Amino acid sequence: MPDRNRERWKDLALRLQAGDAASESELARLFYPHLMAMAASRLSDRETAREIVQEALLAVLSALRQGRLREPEKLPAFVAGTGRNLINSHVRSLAKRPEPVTLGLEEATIPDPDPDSGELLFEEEEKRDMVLAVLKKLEPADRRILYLTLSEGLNPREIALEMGLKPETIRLRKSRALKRVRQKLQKMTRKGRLDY
Amino acid sequence: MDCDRIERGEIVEKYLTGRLDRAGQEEFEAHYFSCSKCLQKLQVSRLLQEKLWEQGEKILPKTQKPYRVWIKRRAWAVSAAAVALVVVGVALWWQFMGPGRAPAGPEETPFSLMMLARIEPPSYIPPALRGAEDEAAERFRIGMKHYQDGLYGEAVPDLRAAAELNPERAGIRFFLGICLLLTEKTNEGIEELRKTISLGDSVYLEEAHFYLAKAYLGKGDVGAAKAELNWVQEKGSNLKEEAAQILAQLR
Repeated sequence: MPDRNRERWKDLALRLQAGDAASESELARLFYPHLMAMAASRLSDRETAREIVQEALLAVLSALRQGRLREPEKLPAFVAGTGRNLINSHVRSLAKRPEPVTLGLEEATIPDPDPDSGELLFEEEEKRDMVLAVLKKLEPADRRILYLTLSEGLNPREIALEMGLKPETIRLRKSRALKRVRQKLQKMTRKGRLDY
Repeated sequence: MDCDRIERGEIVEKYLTGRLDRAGQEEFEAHYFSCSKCLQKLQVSRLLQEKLWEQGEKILPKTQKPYRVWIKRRAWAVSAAAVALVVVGVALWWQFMGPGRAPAGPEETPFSLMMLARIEPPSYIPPALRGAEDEAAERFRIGMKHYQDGLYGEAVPDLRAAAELNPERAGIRFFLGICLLLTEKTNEGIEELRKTISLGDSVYLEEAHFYLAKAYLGKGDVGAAKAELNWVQEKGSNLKEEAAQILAQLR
């Protein structure tokens, strides 16, 4: 980790520890996208993911105020660990109880994340439509490779078996297709509208 | 874990489809909490995954439905056709081959077995401390670097060299076997896993039996696969449950 980053995290952690209210917004703005990516990837229910992210941010704040972070420069790892623990305990509770759990969060105490943050990629319906539009523009074979990879969970070797291609070809096409989707989305996000 | 290894090892896709072990998940999470580029890759792939789940097979052209969907939809028609084919086949076999004769060609492995035969590369964590290493250890380390990057074909020459230099080391044999299986050199992979087992008790013994079972399933040899899975169920520990599940499906 570069020294500049370590200093940045240390500074933020110390400000939070001191109870600085403005730093709470900064914490939420910085880590909401990461926590949301983690929760959305591990849980199928977006609403629950959102709740757990709020709970994780509260837990991080509470821990910092109690001086439980021994190495402030390792703040990102601490936030990641807190999020992971909450997600894991939620998954365990689901296995025990068939009914959805109520987390009882006070969301108002956590500031809204910055609208310019990566969270937009997850939240805006418009972006979801963009994803579909980009998907439809891909070559059918590439769309199929992405479908088998991300939806069916097959690896390149298995996809190769199914499509009659070499695993290396599948890897190359998949990587190219993902890159194309990312570039298109970035382009559209910058323009603020669909560019086709 | 760095950006390059994440890209080459297809870590984002593995993370999203639950194919990363716990250590791998945590390592990747630690990385993307400090790397905006990889966070963005994860976000876009997750959005894609959601859209693909939502759209399902609608997103695929009609001629390119996945094999499994095709089977499910046409299961009825396929069953009827299969029964007819079997009847005709048995009649032809009886007429031209007669009982007791060997089949003419290799049999194709059924798709369901292929799915059970799926191999997820076992995780490898390199030792944190490295002392003076001999040539075999050095080649093993180089090979396993490729392995960690998901480049199984590139790992084989180094692992093979390491195995020749130190044929008694179970870890080398085991990962060489796994790399061979992952690059579709099934017979050679089976051979290496057998050698791993023949070396006797080691930390790789249970996994060697388990992956050998998978290799046999890939070849359609259910009997041999069951024998290996039974071994895991009786004498193993970590893979017991998974072996039991596969055995149940085979029954």
